[in-house]
Amino acid sequence: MNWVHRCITCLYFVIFSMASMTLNAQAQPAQQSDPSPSKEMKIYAAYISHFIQLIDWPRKTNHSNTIIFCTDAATSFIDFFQQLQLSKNAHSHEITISNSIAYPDCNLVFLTRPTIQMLPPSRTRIIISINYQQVHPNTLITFSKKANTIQYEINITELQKLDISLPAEILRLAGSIKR
Amino acid sequence: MEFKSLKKLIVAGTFLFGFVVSNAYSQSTPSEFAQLSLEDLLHVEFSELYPQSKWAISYQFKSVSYDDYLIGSRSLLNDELLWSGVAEERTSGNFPVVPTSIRQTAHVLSAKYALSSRSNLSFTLPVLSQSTEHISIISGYDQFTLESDGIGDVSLLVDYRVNEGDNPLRLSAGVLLPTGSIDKEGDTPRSPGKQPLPYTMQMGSGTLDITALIEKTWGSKTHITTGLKGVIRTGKNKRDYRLGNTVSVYMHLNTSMNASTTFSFSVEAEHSGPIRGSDSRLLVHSRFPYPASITNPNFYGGEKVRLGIDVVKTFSTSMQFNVGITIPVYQHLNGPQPKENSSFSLTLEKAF
Repeated sequence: MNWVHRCITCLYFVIFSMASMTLNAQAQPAQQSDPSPSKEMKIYAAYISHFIQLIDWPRKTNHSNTIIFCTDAATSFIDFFQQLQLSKNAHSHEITISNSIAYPDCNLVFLTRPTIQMLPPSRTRIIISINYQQVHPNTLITFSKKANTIQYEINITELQKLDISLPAEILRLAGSIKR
Repeated sequence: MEFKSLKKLIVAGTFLFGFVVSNAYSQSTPSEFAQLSLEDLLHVEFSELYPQSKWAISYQFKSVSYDDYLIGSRSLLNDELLWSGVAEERTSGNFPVVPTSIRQTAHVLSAKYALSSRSNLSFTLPVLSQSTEHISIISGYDQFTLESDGIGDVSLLVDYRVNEGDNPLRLSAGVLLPTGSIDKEGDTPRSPGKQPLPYTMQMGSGTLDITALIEKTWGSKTHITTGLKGVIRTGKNKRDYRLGNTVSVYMHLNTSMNASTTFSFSVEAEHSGPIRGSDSRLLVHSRFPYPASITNPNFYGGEKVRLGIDVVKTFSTSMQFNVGITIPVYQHLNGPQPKENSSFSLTLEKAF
């Protein structure tokens, strides 16, 4: 009888320790508790890296080849994305990263959380969102989870509003194309 | 009979689902991701809970209660089951002792080790406790409560996911070791002092049991999982009986409210068989050898259908919390047998 109670006491100790770890994890900022982004975020980074290199971006008036990538993601994601770029052998575009999604010169905005922030209208900017309950209304590419993998879908109506065309490879591999 | 049914269902399920094996990936560093083409990325698995964590431990608390009785699907009150003494004819359907309320709780500690990105080995240790309230016509035992507790049957399972792309298929098999006691005793009205407790109050089966599961999932953000699982008892224990085999089919509808919260609605239909053999220590030497319905091995098993709802909250890629309630909506029992009420469970899992 006593040893059963001791076992139950031990179990309570385990659950309270785990609950305590959970609370600690929640209390800390994401950047501190998770120095490396999740694998899901790494996959998004890899997708976006491809998109930037494949998309036929409109020529800028100053002939700059730099693409400005803006995101609300955590610093760990931005660090990983930068390392990913450094690991690539060839680049058709240089990339500048900003953590302000409202920056008017953004070429590509990646939204990782639901946002009600109005973004300045632009025909030369692409919005990519993760598929939460409410994605930004001007989202062109939406990431979604299918089984244990990440797929993406394209909103053709949004594409038609832009002065940007998507290459056949991106269209062909999209999980779905919606209007 | 039950084994044959289970075997047929598993074979049919295997043919139905087929085996589709897709490529497995386990990238982690920026340079590894940089090498992947757009097409490769479509097949990369994002979940890190099991593929990249070698160990996971979980704690689960479960509670279930039983009140009143069913014969088939017909309700029976405790007073109808209690033999009131010489003024009433004793039959095989009334008893001098009647359990009125059964409360069972389990604290289940599990450890899981990832053998590969698709397979896990898990070890589960349940610590059980039970309390049963009784009424009887025996003097000095008008109302009494019996309690028992201890470790239950430890399980060792191997879990394998056949494919992890679209519509994954999961197979699981293992053994339940007879670590739970079948010799728990208590002060029953049978005679002064302690006597062996009925089957429901023992901690284990006393036999080496085999458990198996086959499960298929369809969909992504909102997905449906259907499965078939069963427990097959082998041989007889040292008290010359074995518990009934069980087989159940289930379906879960899981829908993600956001990135960290999932609701799961489930329906499960279970069939379990009666006890084979009997523990002679529970019998009394008379024309009616069973002093209480729960000492009769034929009054076990039957069919149950349960509905459930679970909320799963993921705190990080390595920790999740699950709370659930299950309600039996249909019971057809070999009885008279105590009727199952709603059950509650709470699970906390941490991967390392």
